[in-house]
Amino acid sequence: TVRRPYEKPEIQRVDLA
Amino acid sequence: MSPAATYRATGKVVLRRIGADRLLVPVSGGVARENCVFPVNETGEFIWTGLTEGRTLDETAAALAAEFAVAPERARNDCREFADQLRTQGLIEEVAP
Repeated sequence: TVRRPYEKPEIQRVDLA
Repeated sequence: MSPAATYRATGKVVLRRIGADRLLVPVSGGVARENCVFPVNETGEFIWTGLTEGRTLDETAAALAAEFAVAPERARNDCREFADQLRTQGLIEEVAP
């Protein structure tokens, strides 16, 4: 089984205004 | 956050892909009024999908470790931390047992 490369999960917040 | 708890999106939040980017877009509910979108990376998308499909934190972390090249312990920690960020941003809430 080839597992996908791992990146630490990230979330950003973008204020559209 | 309890590893055995389940979560749901707060209001209606859709995941959209724009090219290689992934965006969580709140379309109704409290956080939608703040006029914000939330870019996430590939593993963030994976965790979001797992949690909002009704899997627990532990189940989502196990799936993350199976799909990506990461040790189970780190997957658990990162999963918990990311879910905490989702909750802080008002995107998910715990489902009462």
